[in-house]
Amino acid sequence: MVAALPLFYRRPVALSPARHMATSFPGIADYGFARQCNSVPLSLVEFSLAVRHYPIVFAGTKPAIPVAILGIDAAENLFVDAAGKWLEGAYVPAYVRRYPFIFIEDEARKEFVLGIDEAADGVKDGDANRLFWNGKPTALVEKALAFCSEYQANVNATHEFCAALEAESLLVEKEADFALKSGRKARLAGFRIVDEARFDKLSAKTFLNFRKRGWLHPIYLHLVATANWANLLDQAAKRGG
Amino acid sequence: MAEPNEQMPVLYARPAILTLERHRDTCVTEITRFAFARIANSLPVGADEMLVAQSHYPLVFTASDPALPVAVLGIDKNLFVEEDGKWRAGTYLPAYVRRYPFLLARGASPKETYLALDEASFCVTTGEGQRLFDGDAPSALARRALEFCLAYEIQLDIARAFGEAARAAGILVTQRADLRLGDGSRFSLEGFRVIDEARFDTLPNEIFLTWRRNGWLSLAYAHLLSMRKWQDLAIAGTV
Repeated sequence: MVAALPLFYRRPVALSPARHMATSFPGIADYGFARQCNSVPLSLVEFSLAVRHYPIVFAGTKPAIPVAILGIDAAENLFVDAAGKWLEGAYVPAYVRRYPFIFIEDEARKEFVLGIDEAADGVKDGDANRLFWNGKPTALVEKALAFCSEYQANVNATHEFCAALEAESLLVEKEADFALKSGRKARLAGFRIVDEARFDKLSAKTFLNFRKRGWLHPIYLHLVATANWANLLDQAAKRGG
Repeated sequence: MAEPNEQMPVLYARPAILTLERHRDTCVTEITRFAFARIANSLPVGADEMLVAQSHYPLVFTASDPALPVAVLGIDKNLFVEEDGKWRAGTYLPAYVRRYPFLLARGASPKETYLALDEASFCVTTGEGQRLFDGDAPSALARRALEFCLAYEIQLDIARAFGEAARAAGILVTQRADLRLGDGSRFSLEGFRVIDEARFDTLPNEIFLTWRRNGWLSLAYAHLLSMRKWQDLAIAGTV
């Protein structure tokens, strides 16, 4: 079975000293790779940072995945400019910062191994910024491993949160209609949000359990972040949209 | 009207209860310039507007009791009124300002409320704008103003109840904001209170559930979330 590749990744390959003996990576030069995505996954710990700029919703997929909405049109990221620069002061989600590294599941051994998108800009053979040196992972790889480990732990915690939302049937389909300042109208559909009426009806027991698990904070942040849809219009207006 | 010793609400100079006798020929012009609000570095916010205002202004609680939720608009003056008197484009215009020059006046008993207006306002005229009375009956403008003021009062009451509950629960702490503007100058704003997040997180369950029932949890989160706006206030001050 061929699973769909994760967003941004074209040729993710598990790192190995043999294959990547001479591979180097100087770091991401810009965020051009994210210029055409209007949403990226978020983990729970990022809600309080993402809420400063983006609407936070849940992708239509099951199980649900929280995402930050970055654009109105399908292939539009309003926070990355033509030069690939992320809007100054706006939070860059960990999913984006992780690229081109990734955890790849080794099904046989039931564990994650660090991989890299060999198709990413900047990943090529070279002398400086090597991934391996004398057959040993370099500091660059150690850092990527630490980042991906922490990221994976955050993603796992996020899955638990989303499973609870699903179990309580709190998520409902939603679409957002935009009247752009240029006069154009647009609609973004295919996502879900927490239904406030259902959330208000959660039993006290479940509600307090959510509290204990630290899940109320992200739910309220998600609900309050609906005010951020206006931010997208402001960003679009800056581009004449 | 207000008790003689009660402080005049901010922005209002000479409020008077609307009467046919006194205001038969009085008109009110539409307000599009807000220079009159430039003196206010903070304004009260109603409960419902806290959810929207949190993405524009820091929302804090007054230092004196009752602990009223207010939006911080500036340090020594309102930074959101432009040179030409327009409210900064794209930022939320508080209901307190939209209500002006009208307000509610309490009668002898708490159940008695009257529509009043600031007779000293530049927008209160004779001849220009919309009349307050059509013949002997209140005009559409007067009826709309009353409706707005009544709805606003309800939201102010919820906000006040929330602020008082936060104070009673012992989770409000006095804070000062130190802001460094882009030109390097420093300002600090004192005399307000905020929710201490650690104390909020340890509120007893039964209080927490009461807050939930009263719709105060979203207000608490809106307040906490609005703290990110101090940074923008510093930026607004440099322009």
